[in-house]
Amino acid sequence: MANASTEQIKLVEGVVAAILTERELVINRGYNDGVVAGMKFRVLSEQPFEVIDPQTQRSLGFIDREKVRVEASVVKERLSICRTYRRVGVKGNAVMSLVDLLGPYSEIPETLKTDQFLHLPSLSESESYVRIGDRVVQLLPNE
Amino acid sequence: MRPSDPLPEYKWPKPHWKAYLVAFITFALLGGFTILGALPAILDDAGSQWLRKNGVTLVLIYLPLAALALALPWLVSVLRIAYKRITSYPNLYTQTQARIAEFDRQAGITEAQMQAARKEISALVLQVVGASTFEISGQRFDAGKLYISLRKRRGRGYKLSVGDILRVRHTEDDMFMGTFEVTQVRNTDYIALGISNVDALWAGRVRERGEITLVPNMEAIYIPKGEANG
Repeated sequence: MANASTEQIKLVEGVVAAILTERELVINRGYNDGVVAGMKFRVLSEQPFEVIDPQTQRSLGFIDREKVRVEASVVKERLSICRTYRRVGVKGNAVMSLVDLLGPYSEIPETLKTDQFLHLPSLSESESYVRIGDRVVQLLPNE
Repeated sequence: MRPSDPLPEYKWPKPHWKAYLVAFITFALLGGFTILGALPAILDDAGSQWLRKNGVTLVLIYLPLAALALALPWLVSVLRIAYKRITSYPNLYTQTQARIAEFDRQAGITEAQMQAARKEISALVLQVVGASTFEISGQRFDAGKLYISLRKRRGRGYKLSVGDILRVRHTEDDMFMGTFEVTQVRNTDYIALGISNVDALWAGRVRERGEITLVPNMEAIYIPKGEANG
C-alpha cells in the first residue's frame, strides 16, 4: 500500500501554445486537464541542462532550466491564459517593489535558494526567451 | 427590475404522502363497502361471471387512477410552479445580468482606483528618489538580443549617454522586466540593449513579432552609475 511519502503527485504538464502579450501566454492545458485559476507554472527551456560529474566525467542527470513563471488567470476547457507574476528578488507590495527596483539589489530568482544553482551557466541566447512549444510544468503550492 | 430588488422565489410543493395514503385507504375501504353492499343486487349469473373475468383488470386500472386522482392537487401545483418558473426566467436573466454588470462596475471602479493610487504612489516614489523615467517608443529583437528605443525628452531632464544603465518596469504592477544599457544616442531617441534579466516572455513576444512600436505599459528608469549592479 502506498503511503503519503511515496505517493507521486501528478503535475499538469503542457506546452506554450501562443504568446499574447509581454505578460500573457497561452498553454495547451485547461480545466479538462485539471488546471484551475491561480495555478502556477514554470516555463522551461527546450533542453534540460546536463550535469556532468567532474570526477568521473559521467552524466549525473538533467536539470530543467526555468525561463519564467506564470499564473493561470483564465482557464477554459482545453487552454489557459497565464500571466507572469513576478521574477526576481522583488518582494512586498507595489511600492516596495518599486523601491527595490530603484535601489541596488541582487537579481537572483527568489526560488534559487541554494548556492549550487548560482554556478549553473546562464541560459543561452536561444533559450533566453519564451517560444511557442516550450514546456510548462505545474508548480507545487510551496515552490 | 432593479438589481437590488429581491429575486422571486417559487418553491416546489411538497407532496403529503402520509395524507395521500390515509385518504387512499379510506376511499378504498369506502369503495369496497359500497361494492359489497351493492353486490347482492348485481350478482346475477351474468354479472358474476363478468366480474370474475374482469375483476382483477378493473382493480389494476382503477387503483392507479384513484392514486393519481388523490395526487392531482399536488400535480396541479407542481405544474403551476413550473409554469411560473418558466415565465419568470426572462426576468430572472435580466436581473442576474444587471447584478453581474453592477458587480463588474463596482469591481472596475475599485481596480481603477487601485491603479490610480498605485500610479500616484509610484510617481511620488520616483520623484522622491530623483529617478528619471523614459518612455519606451519601440522594441526590436535582433541576433538573440532585445533592444528598446527610448524617446528623448524635450527641454530639461536628464540626458542619457552611452553606457548608462536603465531598468524597465511594467507600470501595472511594477514588475521588473530587465536591465538595459544605452548603446546609441540618436537625434530623437536612445537605443538600449538588454544586458541582464530581460523578461523571457517579453523577449519571446518581441522576437515573435519582430518589432513592436506600441509600448504603453512599460517605462525605463535611469539608474545612476554605481547603483546598478544587475
